[in-house]
Amino acid sequence: MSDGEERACEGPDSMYVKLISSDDHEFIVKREHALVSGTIKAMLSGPGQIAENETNEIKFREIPSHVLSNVCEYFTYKAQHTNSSTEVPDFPVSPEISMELIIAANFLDC
Amino acid sequence: MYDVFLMIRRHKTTIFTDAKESTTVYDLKRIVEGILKRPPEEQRLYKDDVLLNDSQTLGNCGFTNQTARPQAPATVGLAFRLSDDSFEQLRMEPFSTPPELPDVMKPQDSGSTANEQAVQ
Repeated sequence: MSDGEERACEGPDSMYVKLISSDDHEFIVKREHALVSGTIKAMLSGPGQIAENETNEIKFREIPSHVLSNVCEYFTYKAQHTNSSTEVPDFPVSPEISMELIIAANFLDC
Repeated sequence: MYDVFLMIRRHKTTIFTDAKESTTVYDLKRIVEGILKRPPEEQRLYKDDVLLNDSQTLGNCGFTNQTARPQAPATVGLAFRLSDDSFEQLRMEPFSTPPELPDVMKPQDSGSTANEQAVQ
C-alpha cells in the first residue's frame, strides 16, 4: 500500500470513508475496514442513490466519539487478525464503555 | 517489517491508518495529503508534543508494533500551516466522556473482567 497515491474520500472507489459521531468527531477509516460492519456495508454499497454512497460519509447520531473510536479500533483489529494464524491478542474494552459499545456493535452488525 | 497502527488526529478529525516501521514521516504526510488535501509542506506531525522530522522513519520516532497495535493505535498529532510561516497550535479535541458506571458494574476487590465484546 505504499505507492504514495492514496485516494481521498470521494467517489465510490475511494479508499477511505468518514464516520461521524454524535458529537461531530470525524473518523476516517479505510473502506475495507469499515465494511467489517454489515450495516455500513449496506449503506455504502446498496442499490440506488443513497447519499452515503456519493459522499462516503456516514453520520451516527447516537454513537458518541468515545465509542466510535473503539469501533474503529475494532475494525482494524478484526481486519488484521481475520485469517491470521498468529495468536490473537484480546481486544481491550473498558467497563465504562462496554454497554454503549454493545449497543453500537448491535446496530452496526459487527 | 512490522505494521504500525496509527490515529492521526487534528481538532475533531481522526484518521485511522497503518504503515510500516520503515515508513518515513514524509510518506505519512503524503497519506494525509491524499485524504485531507493539504500538501506535506503545510503539515506538521507530532508524537506527543515533539515535532517529527520528515526524514525520520516511524520506527525511529518510537512507533513500533508494540506501541502501535490495531486495537490500541498510537496517536500522531497533526497541525496545518495557517499562512506565511506560521503553523496553527497542535490541538486535538478530546473524545466524549463515558457516563459514570452504575454501582453494580463497578469493579469489586477482585476486579471484574471486561469481556463484553460483541464479536460474532
